[in-house]
Amino acid sequence: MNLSLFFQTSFLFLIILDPIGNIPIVVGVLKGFNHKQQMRIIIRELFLSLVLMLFGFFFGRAFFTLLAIEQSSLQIVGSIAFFLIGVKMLFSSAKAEEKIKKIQDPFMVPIATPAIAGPGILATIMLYASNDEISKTLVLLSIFCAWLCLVPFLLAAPYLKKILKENGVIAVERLFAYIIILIAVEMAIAALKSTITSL
Amino acid sequence: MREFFAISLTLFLVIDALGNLPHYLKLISKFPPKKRKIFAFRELIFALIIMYLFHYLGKLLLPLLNISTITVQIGGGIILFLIALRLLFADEEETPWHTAEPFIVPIATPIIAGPSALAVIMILEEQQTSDFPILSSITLAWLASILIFFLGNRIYNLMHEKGLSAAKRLTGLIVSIIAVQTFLQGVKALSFELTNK
Repeated sequence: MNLSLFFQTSFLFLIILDPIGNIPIVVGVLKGFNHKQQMRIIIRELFLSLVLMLFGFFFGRAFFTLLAIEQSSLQIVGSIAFFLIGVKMLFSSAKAEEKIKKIQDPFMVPIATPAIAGPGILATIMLYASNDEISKTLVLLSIFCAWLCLVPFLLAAPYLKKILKENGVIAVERLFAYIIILIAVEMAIAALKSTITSL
Repeated sequence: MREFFAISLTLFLVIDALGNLPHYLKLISKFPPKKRKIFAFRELIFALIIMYLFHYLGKLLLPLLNISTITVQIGGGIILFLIALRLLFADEEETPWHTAEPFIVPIATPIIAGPSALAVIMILEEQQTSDFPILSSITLAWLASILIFFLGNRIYNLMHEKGLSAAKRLTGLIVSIIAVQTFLQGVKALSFELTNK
């Protein structure tokens, strides 16, 4: 197995899962619960999000094969999606928390989806699942790896926010946004190159 | 040599010492007057250390993400442009950096070594092979910024809130020009690579 590719894919998944950006959401939604309940809800939501991601992995592959969609067009779509995710993270991180506060029972929505298994990660998983150059087991393992890396972040959410404070969370999230934009550009250039050389 | 100053200047503009001065002064006034200079210096040193750390983090991260020089130029141009937009259309109430006891957060980071500056530092990697030029240009930008912070009260009395926010906007304008230039360099390199294949 290509170890560096596995590492790269897992890292990309993890960065889109946005472990640190999810902390304010988790903390905001679970404000009214006591510590034990908080932990139970976080674990439950984590498993739900994994199920959703696996669903995206298996379903997405069939979907793209059915429509006979080309690799480079998916790459371009993916890069646009990443770019928009990055820009959105850059400009609206402070307001995300307020919006979500209003929801009462946090089952599935808003933690499992769209906070963890949001459209960004689902699109990415579908993209990788339909890439013929990457082995399916590698993508599947990367999903598990990224998810496992995410678990401690969310479990630590109630504590982490106290350390980083609100400002720290915003700053880290913004930095992540820049990295996501960089990844988007890399994908767009790769797609552009393969399209032009195949003309 | 010209490149060295170009990097320093870009970094200095992105740190935006003048624009951040009101926040800095507000926070620094929380320290006891006698120890104010020492505490301020401590925060500035922390900022420098954080910037150095991110230089090495970028070195580690960019190969891991498989990011090429062309991507760094085009993506860096886009990122700089977004930073410029933030500077140009900054909403004063949007980022209220306040905590009870200023220690590292929020003065060292994000006011001085903010996410924008750190992103720029990380992106600068690809263009240079050795550490020394980057580290020294970080230091130069840092020195210029702390000069502004140390003369903070005088500059503030001279320029007031309005003058400083005007300076911020002007900085944004200059950064956006640098951004477009970087982007075009990347496009040139990309088209050169595509035609030579």
